[in-house]
Amino acid sequence: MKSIKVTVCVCTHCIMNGAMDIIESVESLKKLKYEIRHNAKIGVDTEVLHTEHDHTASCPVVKIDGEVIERATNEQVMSKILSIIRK
Amino acid sequence: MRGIYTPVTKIRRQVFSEIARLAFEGWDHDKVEELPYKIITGEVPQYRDSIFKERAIVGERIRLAMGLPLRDVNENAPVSKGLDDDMLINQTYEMPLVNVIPFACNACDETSFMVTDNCRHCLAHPCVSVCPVGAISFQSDRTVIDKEKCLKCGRCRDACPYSAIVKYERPCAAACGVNAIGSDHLGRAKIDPEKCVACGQCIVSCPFGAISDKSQLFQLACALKNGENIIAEVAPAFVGQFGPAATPEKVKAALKEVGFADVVEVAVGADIGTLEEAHHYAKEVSTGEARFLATSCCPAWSVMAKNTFPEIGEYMSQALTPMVATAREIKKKDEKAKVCFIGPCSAKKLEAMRRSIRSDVDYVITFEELMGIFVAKGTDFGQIEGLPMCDAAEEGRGYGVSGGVAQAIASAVHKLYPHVDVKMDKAEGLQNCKKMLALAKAGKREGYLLEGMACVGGCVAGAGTLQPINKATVAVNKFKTQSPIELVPDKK
Repeated sequence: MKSIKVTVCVCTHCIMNGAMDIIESVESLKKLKYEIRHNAKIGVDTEVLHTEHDHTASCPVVKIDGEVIERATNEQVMSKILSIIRK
Repeated sequence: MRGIYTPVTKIRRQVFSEIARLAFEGWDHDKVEELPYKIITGEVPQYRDSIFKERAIVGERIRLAMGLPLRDVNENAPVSKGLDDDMLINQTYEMPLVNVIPFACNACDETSFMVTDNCRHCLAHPCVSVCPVGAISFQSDRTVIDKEKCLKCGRCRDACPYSAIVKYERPCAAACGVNAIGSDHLGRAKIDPEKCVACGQCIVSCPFGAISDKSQLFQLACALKNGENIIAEVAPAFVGQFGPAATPEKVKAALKEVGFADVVEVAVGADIGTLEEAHHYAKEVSTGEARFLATSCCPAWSVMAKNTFPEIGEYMSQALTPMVATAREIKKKDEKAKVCFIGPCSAKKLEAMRRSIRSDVDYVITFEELMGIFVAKGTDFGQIEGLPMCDAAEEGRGYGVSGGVAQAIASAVHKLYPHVDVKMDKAEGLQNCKKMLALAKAGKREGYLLEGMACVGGCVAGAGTLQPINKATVAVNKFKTQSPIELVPDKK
């Protein structure tokens, strides 16, 4: 079974820019196991992530299996996770 | 829409952060005029047909966030018109609280039924058979509902085997539990201030971000910058609102870091009200002296109840709301302190505007607006050392979720009057609250404790919250069980 690690930055700026909603949308993928036919384990962590660029301009920041996504949106994160699952 | 992060949410929160930043860094009229350009950058519109329109709308949002009224579209006026030191010192604002920005409104059609492309022009056409007024007809290529005749009963929708008929509702009006939203002469949403209870659900339901409420965020931030003695009272729904790293203890520390003199849980006032209502229930409701007892801590619910069912107004709890009770406790200990209520909704802003309460509560902001302050001040919850937070009992802390108020009162009744059984009913959402009161008026809730919440889920679902409702509910319930304080019975 594939295991995907998602880390969402929960610093003040990222929270203000929708980090908690991103967490929610990632967790919602777990409920779609049947519909999207995935057999992957999706783990969601929260911590303050550091970026190469100015964090306030990059937020919200999400890391998926080591890959950093800046200015992340719900749809971008979900789409990335699904693309990893379907490889 | 509610609970989904969209560009509307993004703009709303950007305005709060920038307003707070402006206040802390020192403002002048020129800087206010620059704000729309700071929030909406570039020359290509991202959200609407014109970048100038985007900036104009943001300009009005900025005004509302500063507690200023909307500008007249016909008037050539700067964004900062009306902003002066006097307005900052007085810190109050004028009605209406909740405003539609007219040129941001998409003038959505009011409620109607319409036929979609799902229609297969079937042989059976049960939609025609069930319509009591013959409003459905077939034209050459489509099926049409005559809106002049249509009763909006929904029978055609229910009968269609292809789900081709849909009920189209204007989102803001559909979210409004008191039918306060109509249309102006151009078909744009218009709020009736006589009916509006400021629950804020229209604000978070409008997909065009055309509705916003006024705020004291700017006045508060200026006052904090000036070192005024302001004590924060945080509503029980605050737990988890600022992210997983922001524990209640860290929130308290952060509030002091941004300039509040102290922090008190509003659950203190909730505990006071719980005891009062427990005594009232046991002595008057369970004995049959009073028909029932309806809680009153949700101002949107209590205003709706008094407006819609004035004949049962005497059965609304007369206890002070937790916000006011806590504020009075704070001012008993420190007469010169100002009090800032930090809560989940705009209804509390309306409550605090009442003349009888203005002297108790000086500022009201939402969690979202407070987050703007934290962003502006660069608060880092990862680094802050928390401060102990144990002002209130489990009962008061539970007020933030649906059912929590009734549970708290029932718990107190059991402790004080073990022989008394508590009959309870609760309703979430103003439409359901109306149904519950209709039952009560009809005599079907005699001897009951009735809890009403304007927001589905309770206060954690308020329009000014940041956290998803399910997580917020878990967080509040967990925090309440950690209270070391026992609800102390008084000597009544």
